[in-house]
Amino acid sequence: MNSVTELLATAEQLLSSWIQSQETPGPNRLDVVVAVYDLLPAVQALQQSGWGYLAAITGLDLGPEAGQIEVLYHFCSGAAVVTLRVPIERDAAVVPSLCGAIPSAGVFERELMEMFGVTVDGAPNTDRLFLPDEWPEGVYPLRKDFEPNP
Amino acid sequence: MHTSEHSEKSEKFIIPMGPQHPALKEPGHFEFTVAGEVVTDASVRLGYAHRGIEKATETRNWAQNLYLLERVCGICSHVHATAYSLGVEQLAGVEAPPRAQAIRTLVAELERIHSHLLWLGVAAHEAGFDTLFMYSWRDRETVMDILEELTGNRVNYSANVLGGVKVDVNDEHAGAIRRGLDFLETRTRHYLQVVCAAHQRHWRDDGGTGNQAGRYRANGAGLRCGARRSH
Repeated sequence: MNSVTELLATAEQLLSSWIQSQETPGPNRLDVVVAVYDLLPAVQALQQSGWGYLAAITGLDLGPEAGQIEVLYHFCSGAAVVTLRVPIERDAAVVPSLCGAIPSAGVFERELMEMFGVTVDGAPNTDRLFLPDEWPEGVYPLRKDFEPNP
Repeated sequence: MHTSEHSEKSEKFIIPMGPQHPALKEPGHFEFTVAGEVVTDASVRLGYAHRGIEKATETRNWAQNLYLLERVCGICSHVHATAYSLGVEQLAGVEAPPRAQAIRTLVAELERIHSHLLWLGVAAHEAGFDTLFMYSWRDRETVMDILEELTGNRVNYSANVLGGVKVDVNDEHAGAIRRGLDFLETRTRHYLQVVCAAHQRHWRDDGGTGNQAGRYRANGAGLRCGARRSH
């Protein structure tokens, strides 16, 4: 086993109690679906064992018909990438803030809030990060039904 | 009449900086709360040059997006187009031929070298070491010239197409690359010596913030991490 395989095996074991389903999109990757109420314990499990670092949070709007948004939390350790994929309701999009465990999550969460209209519960800072002051409330540019030039 | 809590609050000193400021490479707005010499809090607003590239890709076709994504960054252009090409190729179930993959890697490595020379210069400039800044940026031209010879372009080299590359490396290119890299290797070893010798006098790096920087995932500051090191 090379070190990437070992790292992924360790992560899989650490996360095992919360994994609902999993995929391997590439040889250095593990993509696991985690329920929103299991996110914090799953992140804490990675954090407490010192597995990697939070590299990015991605929002993924599956569109009004699917009615779901996925929030992807990417953790990297060396060349190994573990993604926690958290599906939430598009009309009631709420995830807990990771800032208690990972202060640097703050900027990613601010972007997620303003671009996708996801409420990040407990976020220490909910100010806009990229959007201008005059941007209308309740308009989220990275949602699929947002038209840039109507 | 002030309560002690109120007077403490009213003594907060906030220094706003930006969105336009001569020290900033790109526009950004920062507010630093200071107590004397110590920064006790800071806030950031970005987006003054936000182009909405993610959204723009949704309304363009696969080929158009290749050109759009090469322009994510004006320094590391190739890597974005390469990441995009690899993603599209994975979706399509195709793989670039070995020679094309090798040329992609070659261009990516040349890009990495000029990117590092650029930031060495910026770091030197910020530390007040402008001689090193000018030398490293002069040497960076060597890589830009090689890329221009290879692809016809100095910044957005546009080496990728979906499924491969649009340039080939001939013997002339190979010779120019070898000569350029020999020169840069000598120069880089020299700069390493210069920086280490000048470290005590010139570089404003107290090295004492490693733990905090690690918690906030900053690179540098004596941390043994960073994308290149990890991968």
